[in-house]
Amino acid sequence: MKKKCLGMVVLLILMTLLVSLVEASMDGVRRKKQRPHEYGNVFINNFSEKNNIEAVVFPHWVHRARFTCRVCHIDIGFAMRAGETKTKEGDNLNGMYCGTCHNGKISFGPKEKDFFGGKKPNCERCHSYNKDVKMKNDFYEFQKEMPRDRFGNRIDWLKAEENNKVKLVDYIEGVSFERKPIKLQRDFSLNPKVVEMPEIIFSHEKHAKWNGCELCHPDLFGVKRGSQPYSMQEIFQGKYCGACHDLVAFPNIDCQKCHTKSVY
Amino acid sequence: MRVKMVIGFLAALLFFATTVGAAATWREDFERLCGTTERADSMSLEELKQVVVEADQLLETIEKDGGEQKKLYLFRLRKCRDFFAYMLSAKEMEPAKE
Repeated sequence: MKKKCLGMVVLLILMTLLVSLVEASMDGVRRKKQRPHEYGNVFINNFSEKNNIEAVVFPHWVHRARFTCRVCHIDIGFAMRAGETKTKEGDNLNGMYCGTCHNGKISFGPKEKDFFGGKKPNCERCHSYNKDVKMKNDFYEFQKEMPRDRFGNRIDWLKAEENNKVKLVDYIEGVSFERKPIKLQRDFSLNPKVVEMPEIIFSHEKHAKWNGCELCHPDLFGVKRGSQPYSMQEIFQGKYCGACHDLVAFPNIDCQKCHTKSVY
Repeated sequence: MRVKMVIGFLAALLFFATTVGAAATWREDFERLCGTTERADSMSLEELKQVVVEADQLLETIEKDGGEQKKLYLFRLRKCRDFFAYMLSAKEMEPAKE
């Protein structure tokens, strides 16, 4: 009897393992579902591990609540893909990249005051991968005040700006140019391949307000409108709209945000 | 001996001034070229071509004389240069207005 029970338990464990393996091989790598405060986090590890320090965890939500995308991705010079900028500690200390703001004046610098009034390094505020570092900005406290959304950070960032819940800085002294407002671009519609899907209404105005022109053109969208079809497959792979949507901006599973114009 | 020291000092001063002056010049050019991307839509084909040519020349200058911030300014300049080139090709593809 005991042997039978043991045999059943072993069989059950083996079957569970087999099902998991089959599932894993069918789905490939299944991404862990990100919690709202994690959505938009970028891990940067060009040089950290090689220098025996944890990788950087960059929380997009803290920064997008304060700055337009253009300030960081054009004026300060951050590439659109994690790890492409290859920022070094020396760059930051020279006032470039993260060091543009993280200099102890605009935001915290590489050292902070200690108990005795001196200064101690605070590397782990950024180099926090796999460390239990308590962030000074509490996401859920911040989220309470914001208009809600269904996915991503569960914050409707557009509405948050319209309602003056966030005021985005688009200019940094000594770094940015004084810019005149961009000539208003009209919304236009894109026809989806799947005829039953509502048309996509693209708002140039909304995108240009935060990105400017050169963030998208030509690196993300380099051809004449309508001459190249974008597939959802490519978008989910991080091309075109997927460069931002699914990483920082609202995710692509929120279909109704883009497919808004009824076909009936 | 003193004369040699004075000449050496003046030569060093001249070299330093030239280098700093060159850096100041390319930064001014950079700001002039890349500070107007919001007007690209209203620029003529000739203006856009001119901007792209100047940006290409400035890229070479920064490659040589960019200093510590070379990496950053090359990135920014390529972004704005490529954008102007994109606007140029978009305008060239537009049907001619009658």
